[in-house]
Amino acid sequence: MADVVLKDVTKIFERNIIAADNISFEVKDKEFVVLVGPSGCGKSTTLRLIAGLEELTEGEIYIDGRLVNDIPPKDRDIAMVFQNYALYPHMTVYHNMAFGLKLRKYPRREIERRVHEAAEILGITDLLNRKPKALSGGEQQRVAVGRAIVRKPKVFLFDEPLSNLDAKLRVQMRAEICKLHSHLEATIIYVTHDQVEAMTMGQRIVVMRDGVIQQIDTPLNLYNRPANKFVAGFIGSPTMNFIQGTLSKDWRGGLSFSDGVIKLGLPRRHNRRLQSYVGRELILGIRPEDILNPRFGKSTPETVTIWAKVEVIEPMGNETFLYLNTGSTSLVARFSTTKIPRVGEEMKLMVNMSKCHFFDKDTEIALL
Amino acid sequence: MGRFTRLPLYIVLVLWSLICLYPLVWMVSTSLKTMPEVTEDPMALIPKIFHWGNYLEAWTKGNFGTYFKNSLIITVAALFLVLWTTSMTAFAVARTDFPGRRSILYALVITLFIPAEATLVPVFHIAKGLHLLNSLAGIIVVSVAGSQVVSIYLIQAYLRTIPRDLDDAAKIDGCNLFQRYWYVILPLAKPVLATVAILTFMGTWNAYMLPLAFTMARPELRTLPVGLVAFQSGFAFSVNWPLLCAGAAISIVPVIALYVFLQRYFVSGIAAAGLKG
Ligand SMILES: Nc1ncnc2c1ncn2[C@@H]1O[C@H](COP(=O)(O)OP(=O)(O)OP(=O)(O)O)[C@@H](O)[C@H]1O
Ligand SMILES: [Mg+2]
Repeated sequence: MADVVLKDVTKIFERNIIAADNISFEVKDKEFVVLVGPSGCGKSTTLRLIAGLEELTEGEIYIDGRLVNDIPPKDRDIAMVFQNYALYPHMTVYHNMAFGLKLRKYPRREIERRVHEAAEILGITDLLNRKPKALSGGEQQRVAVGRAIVRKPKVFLFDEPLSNLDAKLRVQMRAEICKLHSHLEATIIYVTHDQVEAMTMGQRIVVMRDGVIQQIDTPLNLYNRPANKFVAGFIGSPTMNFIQGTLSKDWRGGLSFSDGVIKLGLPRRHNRRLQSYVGRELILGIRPEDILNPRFGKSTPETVTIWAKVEVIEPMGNETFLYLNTGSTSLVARFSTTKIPRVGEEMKLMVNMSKCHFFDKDTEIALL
Repeated sequence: MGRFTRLPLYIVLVLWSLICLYPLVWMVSTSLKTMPEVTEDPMALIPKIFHWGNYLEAWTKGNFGTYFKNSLIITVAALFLVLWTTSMTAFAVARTDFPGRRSILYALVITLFIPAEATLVPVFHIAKGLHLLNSLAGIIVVSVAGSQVVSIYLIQAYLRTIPRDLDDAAKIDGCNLFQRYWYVILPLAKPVLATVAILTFMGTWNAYMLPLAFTMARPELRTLPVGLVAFQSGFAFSVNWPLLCAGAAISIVPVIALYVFLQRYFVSGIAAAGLKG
């Protein structure tokens, strides 16, 4: 197993499409890193650069300490699982899995042993003699993973391997891939556009947008300390509420944020950081779970009360999403299922300002 | 559609099949008659006695054995060479990204607009210069060249429909360029290869002008179509119809065999030729 290092990696396609812009990050040995971002942000391109399927425009890629810029995919000691599985339609499951080993001239006994071992791990032993066409999506997915693990490569690359599965199977395979990771003690780079997948699977997450890395951190740090408004909005569901407004200082020296209708006092400890924004416009970010139902909540010095009208209620079973309107802005709140108001009701809300985020209006960089 | 609404369709199809089959049946029937029997009642469909000996006579005295061997050598060689060379070219054009691959394809396709009849004379002269006249090899080379462009075009169009990810998977699995062609792309191209095989076989087996022009000085190199015509015109006044029909019957046996084996590709092959060729 091995580490992967990308140094200032840039990929420019024809017609000047910059798919990866100065990407640098490091995946440690045995680490599970997820690349996440919206469609077209360059995740696949980055992964394919690591695999050697695309040629770098600029930069350096190291696998296990070795510069691989000019090394073809087959000699990089990597395996890749594709979104549509890319199983060879004319080969049986067994031969799909054995193909890479055969090309590498492994003895037949060894090939058989490895294929059966991998099939065992993935529970596809019964399918070995079938052709891919005769398999369900979930089974094909397992075969694709099996084809990757028989070679025991240094690094596994996954490109949205679960996005063609139904929701339930996706959750199940998510757990299985995580299990596989600890079982194989493998270095894994995993691409997805699904932030839930990223949060649940990644030890560290690389958030990308338009070919540029936005933030690299652990799932919890991304959630609690997003580096900018994009990351804040991308991670978490329902998405973070953003309110544009101005910061002002009251006669006692406390800061408060207002969008013209609602006014929110800030905890004193933010004073120093936000001092220079007094009188200027900025963006407040507040997560749906930090808007509290006052019928449960105990008010603390750091909660602020506002009024809003309930517009839509979405019961999820274990929790309820409320879509609210304050008169100046729309908000989403995440409540528990009991003591829910009715649609159309004007209700009091408590905003937990100790968990609020602020972003510069122009650069969108986090200010706290 | 219910069984009864289809009935008129079936009737039409059966009638049409009978119309199409009639000349074939007549040919086989005539090939089994004697010469006096033919002149007596040419349209009789069942011969009085089945003269199987006609076939032996056609094969030996009529030289159709030699013609058959020549046709077979030319067709099999052309088939093999066309499949081999054009699948490789199509692979290079459709599945790799060397610069200029599009221009090469366009340059090839443009030549499709020149009718083969227009190039026969220059081809003849070039072949003469290369000492390819009056040899089976010459016919093979020119036939192959003649089928290549259509075949390349058909195969590359088909190869483009194979998902790119398969190439990527193969690259990661450890394939070099040739292995990717041989183990991954070629097996997946079987349907279009069958189509090309059928088109090439039919084209070469039935070709007339080219083998005629190339065997003027050596009658023993004639192919079946050339031989059949020569046989017919050899006896200006009394064509030996039974032997001629026996020769013709011999010449369609491989076509029928091919049809039986590649039946399911036949229709798609004709359709592809009609649409794209
Ligand atoms: N071969 C190519 N030629 C030209 N442009 C390309 C090529 N491959 C990708 N691109 C462009 O590069 C950008 C990034 O593409 P990429 O496939 O890496 O996105 P992605 O993050 O994987 O998106 P998705 O979630 O939709 O898979 C896109 O704008 C895409 O159009
Ligand atoms: Mg992608």
